[in-house]
Amino acid sequence: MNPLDLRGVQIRYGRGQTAFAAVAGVDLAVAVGQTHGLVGESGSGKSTLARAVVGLQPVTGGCIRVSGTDVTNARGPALAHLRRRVQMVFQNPYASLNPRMRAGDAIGEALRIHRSDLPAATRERETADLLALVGLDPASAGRWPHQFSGGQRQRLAIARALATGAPVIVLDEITSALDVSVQATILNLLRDIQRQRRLSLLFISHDLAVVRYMSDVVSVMHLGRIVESAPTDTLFSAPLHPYTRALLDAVPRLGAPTGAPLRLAGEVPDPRAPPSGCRFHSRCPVGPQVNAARQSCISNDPVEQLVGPGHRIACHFHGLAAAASTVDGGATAL
Amino acid sequence: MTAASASTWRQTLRAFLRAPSGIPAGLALAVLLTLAIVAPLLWGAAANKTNIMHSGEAPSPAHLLGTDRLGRDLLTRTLTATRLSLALALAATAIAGVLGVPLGITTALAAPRLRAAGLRLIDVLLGFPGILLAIFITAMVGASAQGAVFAIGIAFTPEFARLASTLALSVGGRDYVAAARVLGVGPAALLRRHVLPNIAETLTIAVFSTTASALIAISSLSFLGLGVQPPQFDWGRMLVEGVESFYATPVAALAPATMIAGTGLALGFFGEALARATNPLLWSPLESARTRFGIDAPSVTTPADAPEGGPALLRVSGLTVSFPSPRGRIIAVDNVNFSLRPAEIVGIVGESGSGKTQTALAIARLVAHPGCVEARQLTLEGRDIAAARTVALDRFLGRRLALVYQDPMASLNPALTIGTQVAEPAIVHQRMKRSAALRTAAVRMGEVNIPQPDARLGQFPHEFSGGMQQRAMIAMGLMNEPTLIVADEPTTALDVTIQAQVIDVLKSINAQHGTAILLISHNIGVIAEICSRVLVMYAGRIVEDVPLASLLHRPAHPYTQALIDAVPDLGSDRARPLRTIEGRAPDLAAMPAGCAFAARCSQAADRCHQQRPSLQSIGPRHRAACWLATP
Repeated sequence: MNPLDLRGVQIRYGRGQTAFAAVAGVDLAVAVGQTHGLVGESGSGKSTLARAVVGLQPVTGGCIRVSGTDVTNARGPALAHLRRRVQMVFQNPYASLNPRMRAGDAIGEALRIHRSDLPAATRERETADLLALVGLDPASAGRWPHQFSGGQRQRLAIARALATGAPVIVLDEITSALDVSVQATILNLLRDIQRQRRLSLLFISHDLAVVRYMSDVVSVMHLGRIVESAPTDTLFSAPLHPYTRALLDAVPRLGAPTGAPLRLAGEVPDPRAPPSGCRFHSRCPVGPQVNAARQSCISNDPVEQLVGPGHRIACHFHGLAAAASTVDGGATAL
Repeated sequence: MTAASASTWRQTLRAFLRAPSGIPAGLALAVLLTLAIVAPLLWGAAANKTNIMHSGEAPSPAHLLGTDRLGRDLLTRTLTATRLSLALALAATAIAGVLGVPLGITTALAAPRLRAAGLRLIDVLLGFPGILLAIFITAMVGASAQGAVFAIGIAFTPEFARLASTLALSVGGRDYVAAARVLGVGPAALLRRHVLPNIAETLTIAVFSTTASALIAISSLSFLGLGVQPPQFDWGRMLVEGVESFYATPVAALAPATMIAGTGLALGFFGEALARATNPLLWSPLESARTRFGIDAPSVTTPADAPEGGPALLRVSGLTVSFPSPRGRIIAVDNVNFSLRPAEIVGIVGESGSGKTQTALAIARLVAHPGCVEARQLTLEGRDIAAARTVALDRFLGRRLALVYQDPMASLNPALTIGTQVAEPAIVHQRMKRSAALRTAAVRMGEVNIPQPDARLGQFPHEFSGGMQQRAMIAMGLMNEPTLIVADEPTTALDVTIQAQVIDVLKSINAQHGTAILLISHNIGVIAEICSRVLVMYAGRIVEDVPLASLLHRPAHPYTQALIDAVPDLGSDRARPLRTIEGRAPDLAAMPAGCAFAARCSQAADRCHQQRPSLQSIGPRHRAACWLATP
């Protein structure tokens, strides 16, 4: 029984003609003490999925289970269960803290809700301990959010999530608003706390290197679907889906790149009108645009298959992908 | 937390007194309130004493403001009327606030359909002119002071409702409200702790400005004979009586009019000061974390680097950009020296506050007011571009230098077609005909890999994706065949696959046209993909100027090394913690005497803290500002 389990989750926006699925059937599980990385470009639906997991976004299909309890569109006791077990840290620490609430009060509010048995004195001590845990001066409890730097605010947001005692934390692009040297301190801090408290993390980012560094398992999301999911080392050393490989090739490297990069032509399609069949076929560097024999990609939606231990992929031609790319990799650049 | 709340009150009071209008407005209101309480007691009898013998007298020692038609003393009447005037205005505002604010907030927080209907209803009510509505209501309930208060209260309710709903809607969408919901904060506490405190400031201003409006509105009703009825009198009623004999005794009308205007102003200013005082963001501007630049650092003369292999395209020497601030001069760019050769691609890398963007803006002469740019030498193709602004210089810069910004959507005008915008630089600076410019624009758009450029000339920016918009911006920059493109974080807003495409476009432009590129980025990976040389900036200074190969293998400055190590890449050891840079960039109040990085540097020696290192050559085309790197 996983702390967090998503089965066939679908999230549709709008009604009638303009309706579209931002998340179109996602299976995903986070094991105890594990970090599940979710990577994707804008419009992939990763942030929508994050908001759905914490109950900020209604789900239109599938189910979300937290430690075995169904919390899909939860109300009443199931919602209370969700709030106790799953918390979230948002992308922008300048927006996620109430500007009219002191640091200590923000943490105190979480303690008051989730640990209501604590007497006031213990609560203040607990607040100080949490501030210290995330590397902030316990004496800063009386300060306002604007008196902290961006990195310090993100530490405060992490402390607020930890105050609830929730074993699962969803982290949505938590370092993308921060400077790189600050990012390193936040990532290190998260890893330390995770080990200490055996937290299960859903770590969402557009930065592949950061996701690789943080995660035990990584899922790659594209236009509302997970196209490939594997243990981190497998995914980064032997990616099978052409989208995963193109993403990896697009990451700027400090060292000299090896060979011709696999570049994607064109733009990310509009998620409101995804391509038919395999949603990646219009940009696929080894798909029907370059290989006329692969017309099935246009008409048939690939089914997710298990291709190795914990390695799942949704591609009709994953077995042939590696061989084909060496032929046309250079030609498809732009 | 009683200690915290006590200090909150103290700080609120201090901030109120510091607000420019706080003290005068507070004093004025205090005087008005005192008058409202004591004036009728002290002068009520005098104000009502008629004396037909002294009717309509001019000011005299006995009657400082003269008398009215019935010989009543105008000064005591004006002062006595304060109570009724203020009380009526406050009562009307209270009615409007008590009805309007809850109406607005509940509408904003209602289910979507109910909310839409409620907002529309409020809009319809707002469409009615308030004073007409008030006249209509008084006509129904009868002309009296109570009737006027009721009418004005109802007439002003939609304004409060509209304001409260707009504010609550905007706050309700903020991340901190979402975060509170995730925490499990209930609806009542959500409203009390997260929504109300963040809309209170604006509502406070509204209460005071509405009171001022209500004062005028009730006076108007009294003036029309629909409000206060004799023998009661407020300032509006006194105006009616005064206006009748305005040419004989103008004071009779001017005295109440002055009181109405003065009270209105005092209320408005008081509300503003109070709103400022309750906002903790404005309490202590000196504690805010916004200032990250160095201040008044000792000026160190550094020799400009002599570029090898021919004349420099761009030469920057002693470039300093500073901004005035309440704490003194903030030096955003501090004595920066570098040069670019033709067709060279150079990167500037640094974190926020390092001065990299201000350096780029200074080169393009775009530093915002009140920034001050100084330079010993700033030349492009040998021409002084720091000289006084002339049409010729603008034209020169317009043709030779192109800028690409971070956010293409913000840089393109949404109301004009892509073709018009891409073609414009050639029309303005080359005096090209529009049709010819559009043809060139299509060619340039093809060069940056925009498919079907001819067909896309007539499209609008919103029809382009982010990556395509950025390429259109680059195409625009290419119109005048510049010798230098300054690109400020051109890929930061883009997805990684699109970023790769834009980098490829910049590379091919450089290869085809020999255009030099100055690429500014916080992403050392992007810089390494395209640049042959990198300038590393820290706290407004260049700390290292290094060829790409040395950047990767032998960076000389500890900050450069730390910056590389702090960023995880696809080869990072996942078992080990990332290297971090302890501490923060120097604060402008405490800019160190020595190296700006010394406080965070693991290798810093005494000398590093005391003496500022200059940017010295330490190898072929390699300079560093570090005592450890220079033997």
